[in-house]
Amino acid sequence: MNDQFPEILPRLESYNTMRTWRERFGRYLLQGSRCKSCGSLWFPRRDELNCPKCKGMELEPYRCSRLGTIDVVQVENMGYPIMGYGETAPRLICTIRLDDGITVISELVDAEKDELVPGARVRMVLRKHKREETGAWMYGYMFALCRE
Amino acid sequence: MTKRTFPKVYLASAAVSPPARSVSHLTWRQFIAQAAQAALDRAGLSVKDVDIGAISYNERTITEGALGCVAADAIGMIPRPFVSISQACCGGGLCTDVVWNYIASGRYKAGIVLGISKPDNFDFRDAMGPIGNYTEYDYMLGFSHENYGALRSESYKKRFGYGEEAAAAWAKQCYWYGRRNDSALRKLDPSDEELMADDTAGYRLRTATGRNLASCLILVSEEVVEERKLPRLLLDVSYRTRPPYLGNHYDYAGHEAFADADPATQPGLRLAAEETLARACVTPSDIQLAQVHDLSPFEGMEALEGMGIIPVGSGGKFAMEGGTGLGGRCPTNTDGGAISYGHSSAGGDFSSKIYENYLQLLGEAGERQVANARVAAAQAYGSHHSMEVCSILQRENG
Ligand SMILES: [Zn+2]
Repeated sequence: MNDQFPEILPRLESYNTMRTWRERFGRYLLQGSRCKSCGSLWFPRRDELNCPKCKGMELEPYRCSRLGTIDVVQVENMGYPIMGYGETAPRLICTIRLDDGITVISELVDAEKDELVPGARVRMVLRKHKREETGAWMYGYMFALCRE
Repeated sequence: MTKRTFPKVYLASAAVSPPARSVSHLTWRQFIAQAAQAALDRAGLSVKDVDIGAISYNERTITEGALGCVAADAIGMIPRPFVSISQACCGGGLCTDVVWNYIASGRYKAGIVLGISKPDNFDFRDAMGPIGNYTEYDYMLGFSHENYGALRSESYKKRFGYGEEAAAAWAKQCYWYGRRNDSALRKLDPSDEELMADDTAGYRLRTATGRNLASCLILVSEEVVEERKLPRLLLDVSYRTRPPYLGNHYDYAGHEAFADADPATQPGLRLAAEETLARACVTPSDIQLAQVHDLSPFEGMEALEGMGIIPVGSGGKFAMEGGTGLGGRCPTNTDGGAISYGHSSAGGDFSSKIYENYLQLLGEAGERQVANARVAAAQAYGSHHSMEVCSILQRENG
């Protein structure tokens, strides 16, 4: 609030920062769930939920593979980026088949459009995302090309 | 055709609001009441004849939420029951399914299905705008449901070997229909070069344009059809779900139908279509025209494939060879679709399709009329193929 508009705004829609905090392991460590009964792997996490395959309720934390292969790429040129993500437009967004069979959506960084062919090998990296509603920077996974 | 064993529910009437970029001078209640009255008038019914209602809306654009009682009040239906459903673009389909069941069960004889999309109700902050399907792992990491659509299109192109030529051919046909539809919003005649442009303008031209829409369908029992001498238009509808996180559209282990799927294929729609077609006692080859949810052309192609109208992977070829045109195997999006008619989210993305099929089956579609139209399909998805609705509207007895 600035000096001109000191009143408290009663309804300013924003995400509660707890919503970011609750998913810190998923976002920092690419942590999902593994079903103790049937061994199925899940991302996003399903602890406290059930296993969609066997309907068992016992799931344990599972750290997904950090290596994978690009399936498809979108060069985002839609014209209106999400708040906090517009400064690096056009962004490269893709689906990635991780080596353990899980598939994630991620932004690709440190790569040029032409390098991101389907089948290219990528690795998880931890990057700065956007500011949370508190003003703190939110960090989380992105993927970069394996160049070695 | 096999003999029908399911109860029968008929579409008595349908109406949609006229095209307008802005209806800011109206409240959403006034906007929806206009469509409701237009549909009731057309069927020769009064709101007093209606026993049950349902309204589809998008909680991203209407702050009130819980709209059932407000809608009932707006159209003078208090104290009758009124359901409200928020399920993105297929909400109208779910409302139709709910009202269908009330009538099929014999509990009520006439029901009203309302849909409202009016994005000028409040100035939403980004967080309430183009939200994701699985918020913590898409929207909050920078991906909206529009990215889902784009990735699904890329998946389709990659898997079946298509380029933007196929999208341009689809969009071109949509504009052809739209220019012949007074209700269409974006009446353009873009050149092939403009349609193929590899920039934001080209992308926008090949994909949906947003619009305000209020829609209304009136569903009735056979008794009402006979009493009121209404056209015998049989309506069937079903829907299915799919995991909301796009990563789980690949090889999802939770159900056998999804085990070998990827974002280019539509197992959820296939299941919904199987149920709808079985109820309606028709096969995919009986379907003469279709209205599908083409926020991008490739999603429209996937919809035709998911309903079994054309083989999986053939949609691009189908569009390029004129299959969606008036003389084609399955004239598609004869109202202009999301690309030309306009994309109205919860309010009309299902109901406006039913409205177009209604006009086509009554022979009132003017220059875009499909000759001797008897069986028409409509499909919509909510949240990028995490919810799929499929319907068949047909003239009973041919
Ligand atoms: Zn399990």
